[in-house]
Amino acid sequence: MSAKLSINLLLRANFYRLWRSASFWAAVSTMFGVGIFELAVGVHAQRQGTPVPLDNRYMLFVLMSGVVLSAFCSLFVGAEYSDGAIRNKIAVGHSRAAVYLANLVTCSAAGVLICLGYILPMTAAGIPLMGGFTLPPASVLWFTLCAFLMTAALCAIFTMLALLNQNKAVVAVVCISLAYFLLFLGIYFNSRLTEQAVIPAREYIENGQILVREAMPNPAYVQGFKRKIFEALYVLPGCQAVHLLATATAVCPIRLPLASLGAAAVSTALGLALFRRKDLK
Amino acid sequence: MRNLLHANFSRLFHSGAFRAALAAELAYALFIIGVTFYSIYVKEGGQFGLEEPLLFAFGIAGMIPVPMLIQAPFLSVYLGTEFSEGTIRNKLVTGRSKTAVYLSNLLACMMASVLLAVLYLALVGIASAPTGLPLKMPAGQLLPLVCCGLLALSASASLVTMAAMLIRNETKTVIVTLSAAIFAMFLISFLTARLGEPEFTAVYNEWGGDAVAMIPNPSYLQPVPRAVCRFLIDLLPTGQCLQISARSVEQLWRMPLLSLSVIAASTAAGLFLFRRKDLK
Repeated sequence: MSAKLSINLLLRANFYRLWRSASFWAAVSTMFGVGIFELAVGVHAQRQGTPVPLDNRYMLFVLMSGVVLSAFCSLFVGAEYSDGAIRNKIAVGHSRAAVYLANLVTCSAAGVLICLGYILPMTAAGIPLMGGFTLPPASVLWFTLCAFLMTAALCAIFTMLALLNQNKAVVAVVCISLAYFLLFLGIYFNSRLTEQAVIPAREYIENGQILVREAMPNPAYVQGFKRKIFEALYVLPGCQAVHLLATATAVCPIRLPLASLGAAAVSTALGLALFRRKDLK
Repeated sequence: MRNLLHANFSRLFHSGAFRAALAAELAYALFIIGVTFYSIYVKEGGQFGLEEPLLFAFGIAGMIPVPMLIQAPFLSVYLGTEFSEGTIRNKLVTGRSKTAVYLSNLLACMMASVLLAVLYLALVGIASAPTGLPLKMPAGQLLPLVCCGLLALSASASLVTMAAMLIRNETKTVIVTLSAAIFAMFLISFLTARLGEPEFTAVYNEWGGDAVAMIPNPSYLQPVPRAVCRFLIDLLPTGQCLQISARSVEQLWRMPLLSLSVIAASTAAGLFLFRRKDLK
């Protein structure tokens, strides 16, 4: 049996399992529910007179996707171990690399479908209810592509963690904690990196006199080597969700999808190397 | 029941999940001790009292409910093992009632939660003693706060027990309880922010001098929604713990009552459903 055929068979089996997986449909439903909720918040705000563009609501799925995927990947990949499917696949002659890559492809595809669970109600009902996007369609598509690549990179990390540990519960704790940790780290980096270098001069009145406070350096401004480290870590998948949202109104820089591809490649290479040596009992 | 409790505690102290929770609590206590030492000796601030690091046993400054985030996965894995290893079936086969099994698990989980918090209090108390950090809050105020916090942790443990005994699947329980703990954290911060909205907002002139007018704030909560928000924060164990950690408790008297209500309601619902459950 050729390696290509082998992977195709594994992929077919994985997608067959995916369509019947309760965790997959639970994840899609969660994102669908969040999409409806965010849309309702946007429509309500617009009716109150607050100018909320559809873009603003549409892009929020990047924040949720990591957390939902962490739970999904640990359940879906973990079931391979608990049901003995991995052993069966290897026993019938599939290579470990093929098993690993088939799971990675399935989880990444599921990740995109789970995001579509949010995007679908947001665009289908959002465009007639809130008006169209204010950004050009190319920018929205570019943002969506970057977000999907980040989702795939997160899937690569979660798949690696799930395939290297046979305890599903431990994998769930690690993946969910990691997803939240990366998200909070992104929020922290965003707040530190957007600090102004200089606090501008200001005129104000005190005791009836006009006083002037001179411009001064902002002590909270991050600079030098520390800034370079923060900027490098800010493109990590998960942290990148905040970065994507912060830069979405302009054009997402090319380094973000490149960083996602890099993170996916590194985690897959590492995961494959360790999975090949793993005792599957 | 005594045999069941004995077996539960024996399993608890040998459980990897409990050891991991102990390690997490220890790491958290060391982090707070480190921050306390840094504030006293490096930043030479030390304006706070000993009660501040002690009350962080229930969360970080009213923002992050650390004990809940440790407790949820630990108790889920600990109780989930009962199902995955068939222990529950063995207990029932040897003649124990479902009620006794549920209550013994509940007591073990509550004790474990309280034990982790007490360990934190002891560690931080002992480590802070040489710094001479004074207790700025009277012991008569601190002790009730700690007791309410421990009761809130027990209430949280009873909710996790109910979830674990009804879901039965270790991984699903972990996902549900951990997500619920994080959701509760966001909910409490949202509700607290809404309660903190001022009734009127000031309008300043371009020179930033005295306010020229006060306009009603549309985000200010009216009495009924305000009371509902307040009640929700006090009812949820996460809300209680965060208030205690921030020392912003407004109605201390009702906290133990609400914690006991949560314990009673979750245990009654859990027992009722667990008795009807087909354990296969």
